[in-house]
Amino acid sequence: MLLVDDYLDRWLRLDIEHYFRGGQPSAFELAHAARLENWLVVHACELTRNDLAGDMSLIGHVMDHPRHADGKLIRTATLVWLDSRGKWARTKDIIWRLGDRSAPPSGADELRKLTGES
Amino acid sequence: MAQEVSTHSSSAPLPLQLLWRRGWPPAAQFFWSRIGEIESLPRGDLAADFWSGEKERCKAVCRTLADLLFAAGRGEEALAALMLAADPAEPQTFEIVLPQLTYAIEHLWEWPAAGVTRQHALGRLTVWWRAARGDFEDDDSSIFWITGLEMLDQDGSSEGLPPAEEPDKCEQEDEPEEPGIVVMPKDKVTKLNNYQSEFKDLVDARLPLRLAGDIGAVRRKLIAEYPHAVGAIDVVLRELREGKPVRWAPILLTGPAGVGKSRLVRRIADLLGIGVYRYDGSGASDNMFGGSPKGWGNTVPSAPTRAVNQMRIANPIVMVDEIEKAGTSSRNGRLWDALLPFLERETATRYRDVSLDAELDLSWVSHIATANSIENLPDPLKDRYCIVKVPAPRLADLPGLAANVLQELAVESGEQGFVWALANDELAVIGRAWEKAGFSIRALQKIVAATLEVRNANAVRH
Repeated sequence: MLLVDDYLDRWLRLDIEHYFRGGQPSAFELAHAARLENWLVVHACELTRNDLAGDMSLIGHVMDHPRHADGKLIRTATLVWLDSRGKWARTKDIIWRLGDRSAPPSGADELRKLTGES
Repeated sequence: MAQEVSTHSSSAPLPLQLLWRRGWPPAAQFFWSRIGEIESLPRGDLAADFWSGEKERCKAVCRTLADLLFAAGRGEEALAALMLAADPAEPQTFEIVLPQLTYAIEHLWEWPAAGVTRQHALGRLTVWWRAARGDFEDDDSSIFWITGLEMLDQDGSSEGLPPAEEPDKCEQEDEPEEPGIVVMPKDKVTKLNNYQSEFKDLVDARLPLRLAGDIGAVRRKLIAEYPHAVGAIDVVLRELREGKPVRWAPILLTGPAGVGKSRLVRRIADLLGIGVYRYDGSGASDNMFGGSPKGWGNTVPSAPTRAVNQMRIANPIVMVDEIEKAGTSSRNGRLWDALLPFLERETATRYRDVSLDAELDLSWVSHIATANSIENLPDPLKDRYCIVKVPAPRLADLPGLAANVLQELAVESGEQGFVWALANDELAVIGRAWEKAGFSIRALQKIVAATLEVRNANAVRH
């Protein structure tokens, strides 16, 4: 378990370093990425004032995800990089291809209570 | 394994340094001087927008800069540009900044950097996180300013200290090959007070003088956009020399209301890559052209000083709009008196700013005024301006003018390059309405906007 986490952390770091050099996820990565439709950014409301760093994640209808049925409403793990054009996002564990943002799911406040997963 | 990320900068990452800037202007200035070393970046083309002082224009150009910097492989600088575009009134703008910034602070950058620890940086970032959650949505200030204030409130201990003053050194290195002057020499300044901290950076700073580029190209563009004002354009451009700093002796544009005098000035400035500082002659704003003395609580330097400070160039344009209206207000004549010392190069070279209590060289600032009529202006003032008439457009100018207005509307609504040209039947309708409205550009803007609304309400036009 520890080994997998280490591996994910290292992979995340390499990705973020790549983005800081002006890179983007490759076409291959995006083609195989899970998709999020009707998404929105939410904050971790349970954040305590003592917690120095905040926490954002995405909520939306998932598509092409290996473990979730298409259309299921989910909340992702912590957001680490959101593309400035809103086309893709890197969360703590995976890359997401982002779809339409214009129609966020209704009852957004309820959705904020969804637990983080991917 | 992990590669070195901050290969481009010898010191701490730029986003980190911006976190400690007090206010948007110091942050912007620091950013601006740092990106100056990136050769492939067309920084000069974006200067007018960047230093326009208008929030939306600044935000838009910062996003453009971020795109260019990402494309140039400079992600840290790009993130810094997005930080400058972050707006507490629009919490969404933080979504493309905070996740990556927080991750970089927690996992990527070396510590201590620039004399601060990771905890200090994350502590400062809490204010940004609050802004992202909408805590300062009603606040008109920048996130840099708010962070400064919030950190002062917090026990005032080491948390609020800047990471030494080391970063400021870079600012004087602003493109040494570019001609420039020191507007505010140190030996002519007394100690500035707290209200003037934003002007502190001017002391001994060598500010660039923007040079006139291809004047022929500027003229062609202007004439295409203002076909009715060829004479005025020629008189104005005649004074410029290619490759020399942009500077005019005082100019007064006069013509009927709504012919586009102020727009013409802005456009000329845009094309030359310099900024315009607008001062409302009718007194709608503060009526403090000459500044207020240092003894006062919130003292304000003169308008030309503010212009130089805002644009970070030594030769911006200060435009007094509707100068003739100043005489009819109760503050009769104050603006006119205050203007005179700036209009003489001799006195402007050694202008004593009563607010900063310092001697400044403002002789490179150009003064352009607009007036609907000049009858009521006092002679001493009229004598100092070169008076240029801008006539009202004629019906024959309509197609060209309407196309420009259309383009402007498209830019405003963010639909650049995606507007259908006006069809002949639309032009005919616009022409009739415009004639009734007396051929003013302002009226034309309204008419074209209304035409577009009608068009959008109907089907797509082919």
